[in-house]
Amino acid sequence: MHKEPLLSIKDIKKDYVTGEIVTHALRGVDFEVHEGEFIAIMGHSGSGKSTMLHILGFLDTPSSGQYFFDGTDTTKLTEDDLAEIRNKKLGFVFQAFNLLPRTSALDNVRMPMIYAGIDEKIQFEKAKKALAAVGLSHRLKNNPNELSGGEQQRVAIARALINNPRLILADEPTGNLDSKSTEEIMGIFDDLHRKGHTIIIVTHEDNVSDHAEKIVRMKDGMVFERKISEKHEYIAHNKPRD
Amino acid sequence: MRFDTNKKNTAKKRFNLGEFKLLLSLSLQALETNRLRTILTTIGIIIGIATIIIVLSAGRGLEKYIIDQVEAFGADTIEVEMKIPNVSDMEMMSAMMRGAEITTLKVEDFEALKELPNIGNYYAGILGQFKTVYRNNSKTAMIYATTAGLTEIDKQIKIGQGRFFNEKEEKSQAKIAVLGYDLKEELFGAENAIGKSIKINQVNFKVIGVTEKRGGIFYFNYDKMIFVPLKTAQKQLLGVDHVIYGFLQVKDLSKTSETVADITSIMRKRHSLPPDNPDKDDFRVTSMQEALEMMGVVTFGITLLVLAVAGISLVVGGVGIMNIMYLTVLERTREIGLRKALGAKNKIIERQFLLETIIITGLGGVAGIIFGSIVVVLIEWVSGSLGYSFGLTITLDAVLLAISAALLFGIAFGLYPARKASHLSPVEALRYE
Repeated sequence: MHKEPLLSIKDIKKDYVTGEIVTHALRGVDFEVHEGEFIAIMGHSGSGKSTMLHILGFLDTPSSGQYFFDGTDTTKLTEDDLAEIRNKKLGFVFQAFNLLPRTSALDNVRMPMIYAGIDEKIQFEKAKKALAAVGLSHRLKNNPNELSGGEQQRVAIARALINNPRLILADEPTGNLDSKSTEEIMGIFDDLHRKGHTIIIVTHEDNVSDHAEKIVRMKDGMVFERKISEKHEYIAHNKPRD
Repeated sequence: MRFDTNKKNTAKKRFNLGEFKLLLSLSLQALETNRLRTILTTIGIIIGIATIIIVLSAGRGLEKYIIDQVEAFGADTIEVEMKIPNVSDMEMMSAMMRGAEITTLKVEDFEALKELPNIGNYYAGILGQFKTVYRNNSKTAMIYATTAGLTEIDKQIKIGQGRFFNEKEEKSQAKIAVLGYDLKEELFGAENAIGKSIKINQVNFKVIGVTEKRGGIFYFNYDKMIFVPLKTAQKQLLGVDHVIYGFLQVKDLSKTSETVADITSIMRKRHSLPPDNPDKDDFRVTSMQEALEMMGVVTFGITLLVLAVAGISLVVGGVGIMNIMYLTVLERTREIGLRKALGAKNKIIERQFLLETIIITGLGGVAGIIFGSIVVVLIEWVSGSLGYSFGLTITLDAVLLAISAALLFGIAFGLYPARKASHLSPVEALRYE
């Protein structure tokens, strides 16, 4: 591939200091993601895969190393700059859904647009469309506690996509879901990938990572294996959604 | 805030208006979604603010009440009252409870004292209780046997109908009476009382006047009394020739202390007492000026007490607001993390919480002032209907103090944790349990 990667990190380290004990969560990771890729980061708990995702999503800052995103060296950016990147160029999907409680599905999806300063009329239009795209047209006014786990995660995906992000980051998105909902959610990710979205998904489940094109395995804060998913082609071609 | 007029700033201002709209919708949405918590928080603030209002106005009212009561006797007077010699005040009180009487103080003493150059007028009096009858209505009433100078010195006794008795009538032992407003209503109802005859202890008296309504002061209720000329009452009703106290009007207040000394020495001479042994005195001289000065000390003490209590209620109310705001924000740390993950800048988060705090404490403050004022008005109304007036007043400074306290505590303790949370990395805030 000749194109510049969407993001690349070089020798990223992350240490956590608790009292006098220093935990090395990442011990120097190099990583590249190109536009349109679907990557699964795998590993056991404590392998550093979640820390990795948080740093890639600017939810946390590395202790050292370089991070280029969309052509910019992000290590020198201010908190406000990073907030803007999170708002306009990234979309997050969390294991625990992380929807605002007691807030309707529609308002949850509107939230990133509110922070982006988008006109209110457009906010409602786009949010409705986004919820329709994940099959929740009939759930606009429902609060999260009135939705099933699968439905909540679909609201979260609609929210992640609402500002047309360059990159979608998902942290164990199916960890709190039953197998049927898992299949539904992964079907949506397949779909997004097919439409050209760039996706990084953190998981420890094989049936989830099988949907990705590339699999990165981590252990003790380092990448120890990178490979092309064997089943990706099969899944992509045998489970079309449209 | 800058108010420059160049284009750049106009653009900036427009942006700020948009930002304010955004913050307002975020805040209102957050308050709406957490309706129960909003209401509970507001109730806490309402109680804190209402307490401050009530305590402050009660203190003010008490202070005013005490000063009014002293001033009712006339600030320019000197009181001479009978006293049991050689005993302490407490012993005298208990002796009087058992029925001890000092009969040495006479109206003639006051007539003599009136000759002093610095004394204008005087009145002296004694009280008694008798059955009073008009036709079929009878009442046991307090009889205030006094001299004609009463209404000149105690300006708060105002005659509504008819007139008060004069010195001539008093000297000639005329059997005439002036009725207190309430007593007239009780005996006569709507009927005109002037010129009518009533029986006090079976002696006929002609009603020549009715007072205006005044309300009770201390244990006295002038509205339920009958004013009768002193000599008449002494001879016809009480069968005594002494008085229990009298008031002398001072012409030049700057010479009050000299006048008090003159009165003391004249009284000692008249009562054949040693000139320099206060223990043997059968009277006591007090100038109201002195009393007011003493009251000044008392009211200053009350003011301090009120301030202390108000201070405590401020702290209690403030700590309440502080706790609520602190916990409210702390509990929303995860929410702050999520909002940051979705792209909210630190400033927007801080300002959203600040605006929420201002809305809550502002609403709570206003409601607290209204609630506190209602309680104050209610206390006044209930006490008023019982015949007392505490004169509780809601003052502007109390309101301002309460509001600024609410805002200060609310903002300080709402903003601090919000600021702290907004500066956490999103991941830390999201991890917060």
